Amino acid sequence: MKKALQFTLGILTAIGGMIDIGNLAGNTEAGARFGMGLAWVIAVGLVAIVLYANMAGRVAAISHRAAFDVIRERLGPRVAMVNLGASAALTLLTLVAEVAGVGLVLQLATGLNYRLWIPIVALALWAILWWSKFETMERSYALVGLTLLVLLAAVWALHPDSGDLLHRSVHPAIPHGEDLKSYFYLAIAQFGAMVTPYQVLFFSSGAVEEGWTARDLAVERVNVFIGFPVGAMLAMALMVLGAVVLQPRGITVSHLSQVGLPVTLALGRSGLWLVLVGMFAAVFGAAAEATLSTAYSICQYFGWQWGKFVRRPEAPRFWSLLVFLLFIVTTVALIFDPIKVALFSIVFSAAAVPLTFFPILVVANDPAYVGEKTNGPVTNVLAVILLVLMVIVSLATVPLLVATRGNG
Amino acid sequence: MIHEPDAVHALRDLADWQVMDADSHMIGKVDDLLFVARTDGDPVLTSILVGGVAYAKRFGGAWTRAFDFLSRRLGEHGEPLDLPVTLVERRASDLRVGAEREALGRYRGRADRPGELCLSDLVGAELIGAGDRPCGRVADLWLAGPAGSLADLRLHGLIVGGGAVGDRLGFERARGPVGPVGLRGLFAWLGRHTRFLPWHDVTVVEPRAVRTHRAPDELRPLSEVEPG
Repeated sequence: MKKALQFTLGILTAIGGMIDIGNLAGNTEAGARFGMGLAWVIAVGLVAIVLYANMAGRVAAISHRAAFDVIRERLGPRVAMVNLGASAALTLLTLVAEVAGVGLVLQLATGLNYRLWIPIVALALWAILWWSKFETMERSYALVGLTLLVLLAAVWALHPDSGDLLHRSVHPAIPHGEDLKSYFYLAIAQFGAMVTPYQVLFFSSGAVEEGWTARDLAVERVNVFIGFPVGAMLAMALMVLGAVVLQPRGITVSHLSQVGLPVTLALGRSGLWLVLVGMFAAVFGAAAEATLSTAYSICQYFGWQWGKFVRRPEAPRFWSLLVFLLFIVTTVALIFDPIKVALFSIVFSAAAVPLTFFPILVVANDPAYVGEKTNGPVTNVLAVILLVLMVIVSLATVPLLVATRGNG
Repeated sequence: MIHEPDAVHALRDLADWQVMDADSHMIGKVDDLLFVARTDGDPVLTSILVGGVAYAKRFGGAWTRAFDFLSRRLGEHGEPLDLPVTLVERRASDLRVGAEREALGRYRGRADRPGELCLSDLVGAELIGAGDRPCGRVADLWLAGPAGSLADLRLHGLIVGGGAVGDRLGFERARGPVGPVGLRGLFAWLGRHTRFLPWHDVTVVEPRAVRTHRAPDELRPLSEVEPG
C-alpha cells in the first residue's frame, strides 16, 4: 500500500498548483471564450513545470537541499531576498484567493455566503496543518482531489467530436467578438497559473519532508511524470467542457457555479456533487500547499529549522510563521475582494519566476549538487527555451493586465 | 598554466550554507566568515558567524541598519553565533557544529580579536592599485588549504572584477556545472576580465577599500590561475 501511494506528493503538488481556484475558473473561461484555441498553453505549461519540478526534486533527493536553500546558496542573501519577498507576496495573494475559493465552493454547496466560511476555512486549515502528519495530509488531499476525474467522465459522456477538438487545438482561431489582446492575456494568465514557483518550492520541500535520497529517484520521477500530467489532463478537461458546453450557448464564466454547469448537464446532480467534493479538496489542498511553501521558503532562506518531520517544539519559528501567515491571509480575505487581490499577485511573478527557476537550472547541472545525475542536453535546451519564455511571460503580464484591465 | 593550491571560494563554496547542530537541527546559515591576520603569512579562517547582525551586515547601507534593528528585536539580542572552525565539520551539503543546541549559547556574541578580517568587509571593497588606480571590486575570497577541512583554511587571495557572477554560480569551479552550453559561454565571456590578487600583494585594508602595490595590468586573469 505504501508503495502504491508514493505518487501522491506529485498529485497534490500538481492538483494544488494547476487546479486551484484560478484555474477552475480560468480554464473553463478560456474554453468558453476561445474554444480549444488555448489548449497549446496547457501543453507548453505542462512541459515547463514537469522539467523544473523534476530538476528541483532530483536536487532535493540527492543533495537534501530544498529549493530555497539552493536559491540562497547560489544567489546570495540580497538577490535571494528579492525572490523571497516576491515569492511570498505572490503565494500569499494566491492563498487569499484559495481561502475565499474554498468559501465559494462551500457557498455553492450550502447557500451560505462565502465570507462566513472564510474564518472557518482558515481555522480548519490551521488544524490540519497543525495536527496531521505530512504524508497523511498529502494523501488525503491527493486522493479526494482525484474525484475531479469525474471531469473526464463528463467529457466522455458528452461525446464531443475529438477530431474537431484536436483540429481546433492545433489551428487556434480568434472567435468573432474577441480580439488578439484578450487572447494573449488569457494565454499568459493560464501559463502563469500553471507554472507557479510555489509548486516547485513545495515539491522540493516535500521531497525533503519525506526523506527522499538518491535511491528514491525512481519515486521522484513517478511523482513528476504521473502527478503533473494528471493535473494538466484535468485542466484540459475543464477547457473542453467550456468549449463544448458553454461556448456554443454563449455563456461566459462569471461565477464558480458555471464551472459545474457542464458536468451537471452531462452527469446530473451526482456528477455535480463529485465535482464539488473534488474542487473542495483541490482548492483546500492548494491552500495548504501555498501556506506551507511560504513558511518553508522563509525558514530555508534564514536556515531555521522547518518541516513537519521534526517535533513541533524543535521548529518554533516555522510553526509561528504558519499561524501568522494564516492570520494575515484571513484578514486580507475578509477586508478586500479576494478575486481582485489575486489578480495583482501575478505582478510579483516577474521577479519570482526567473529567480526561482534559474538557480534550479544551474544547480541541476552542477556535479557538486547532483553528482553524476546532471541534466542531459535535451533537458537543458528545452529548459533554457522555456525559461526565456517564462521570463517573457512574467514581464508581459503587467502591461497586458493594464491594457485589458484584468478582464481579458 | 600556473598551479595554485586547491581553492575554496568563500562566497561560492561556503557562505550561505546550512549550519546544523550535533543533533542535526538547523540553526542558521553561514552569514559571515572571520579571519585573523598573521605576520608570517596569509590570514587564517578562525570562525563562522551565524544569524543576527552578521546576516544584516551582508546587505550594506540602510538595509543593514534596518535588518540590524529588526534582528535585535526578533532574535537573541541580535548577537550572532561566533562558532570556532575547530568545532565545525564540513559535510556534503551542510556544516555540522559539534555541539548540541543547549551548548550553543556560550558561543553567542562576537569575540573581539586583534587583526580580524570579515568576509563582509572584504567583498564589495574597491581594490586600489599602484598610483591609486582602481582595479575593480573584490568579488570573492580565494581560500586555500587541505580539502574538506575548515580548520586550516587560509585567505590566499582576492578574486576581483564585476564579471565574476559566473564564478559565484559555480561555472568556474573545476567540477562545475556542465551545462547549459549557452550559459557557460555567456559566463566565460562575462568573466573574461576577472582577476586574481594573491594576499601577500595586499598592502593595506581600509574600510570599503583594499590597497595593493601592484598595477591593474599586473593582475593575472582568474582563468589562468585556476583551470576551469
